[in-house]
Amino acid sequence: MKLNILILLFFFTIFQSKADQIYELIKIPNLKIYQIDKENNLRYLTPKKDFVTNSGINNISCKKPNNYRVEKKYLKTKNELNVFKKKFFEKIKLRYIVLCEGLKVGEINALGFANPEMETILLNININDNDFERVIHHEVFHIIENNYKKFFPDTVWAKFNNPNFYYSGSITNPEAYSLTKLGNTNGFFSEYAKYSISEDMAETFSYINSREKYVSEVINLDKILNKKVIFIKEGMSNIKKSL
Amino acid sequence: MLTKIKQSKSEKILLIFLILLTIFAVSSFVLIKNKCLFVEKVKVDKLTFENRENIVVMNINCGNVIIELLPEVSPNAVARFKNIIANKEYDNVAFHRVVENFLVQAGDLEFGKKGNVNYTYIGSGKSKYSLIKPEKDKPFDFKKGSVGFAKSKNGDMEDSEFFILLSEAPLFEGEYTPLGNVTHGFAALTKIKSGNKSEYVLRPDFINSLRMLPEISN
Repeated sequence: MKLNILILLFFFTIFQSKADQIYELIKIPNLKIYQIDKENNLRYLTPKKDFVTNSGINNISCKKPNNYRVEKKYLKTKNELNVFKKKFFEKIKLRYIVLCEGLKVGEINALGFANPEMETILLNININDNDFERVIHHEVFHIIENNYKKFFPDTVWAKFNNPNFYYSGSITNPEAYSLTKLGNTNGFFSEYAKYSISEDMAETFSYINSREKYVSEVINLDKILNKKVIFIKEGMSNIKKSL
Repeated sequence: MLTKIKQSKSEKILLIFLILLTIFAVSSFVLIKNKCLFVEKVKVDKLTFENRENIVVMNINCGNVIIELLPEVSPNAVARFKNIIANKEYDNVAFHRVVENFLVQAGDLEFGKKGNVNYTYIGSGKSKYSLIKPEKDKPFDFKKGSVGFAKSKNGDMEDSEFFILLSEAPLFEGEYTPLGNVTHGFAALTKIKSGNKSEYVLRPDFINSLRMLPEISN
């Protein structure tokens, strides 16, 4: 009997949780509106309870966050994204930002995740501010890249690296997820940049937007990074021209 | 020799109880069977409208639903909607997607026609017209009873499918093209068959007819 009641409650919960406008738009259940930023039309969302959803082949899960951390990270995100205009976000198709804790993509802990199809980025807010601001820009680039691939061709980018370098394409060592800047850059801002061309571009974009001073110093010492930075800036310039 | 046996008091009470139980059971069956019993019927001829050319009358199982279209907000979408109505193509089309307490969706002209519903593809059908671009730049308050064009399966374009909101959805502003608002008969929409656990409805309810008001009055 108890089992029957639990099964009924389970279905009831699933059905009710999906019957809302946010699920309709971005296919993530259990979210509520945290803030709507009228200036750039970004909608900040946060879980009212833990959720699990699918994006392509990945299972994505995230937890209801601590209220204090949400406010703190919301202000941080808003501050970081204020450098871009409303028209820019409309053009790159970014509209929803989900702030949550314990983000997992395919059962692997993640700092952020971009879903261009749903015009959404998910940010794990339970991380330090330094990493957090880098993650914001990193995920924004994945949205940009999806809609403006023509300005960021892989074939051109691949030629910047040393001829004997290959992107790993898979991660077995947890250190490879590190966003920490490398002491000896040798063409890459972080270990994670060595994973794929897309992540390398996103890391470069992230450094340009969050570590301007460091980037201006390092490109004088690292010719590969200099080319990569120029490439990303040119791509961004082309997008801004089209606004 | 037969002798007349007088009913005892408790037997009389039992008999009355059984009669009441039977009445209750029969009336409950009728009430449950008729989901439209308590839906107030909208009589179009008793209503007056200012913009008759933008009033749509949708007849469904539980009565008429009146929608006022807003061409000043979305001229192309309203023109498309009126065109499909004029050709009577929405008649006998399924409410194939019903999210309980949130929205009802209909208008798949290819796979949602009564007698020819294709459950595999319903919701992905096309009309005979070309896709149109959304008109979602003008401010619009998506509230209970708001009507909007649904996006086509092939991205950010529109065709013939539309939805009616059963509860407010302010985040829809800038996401969907508004078509208008329900002015009368909202209760009938809440009785449209939903898919229980699924958003897509097996053996769905249908639009009986969808007409512009002047066409009905003539």
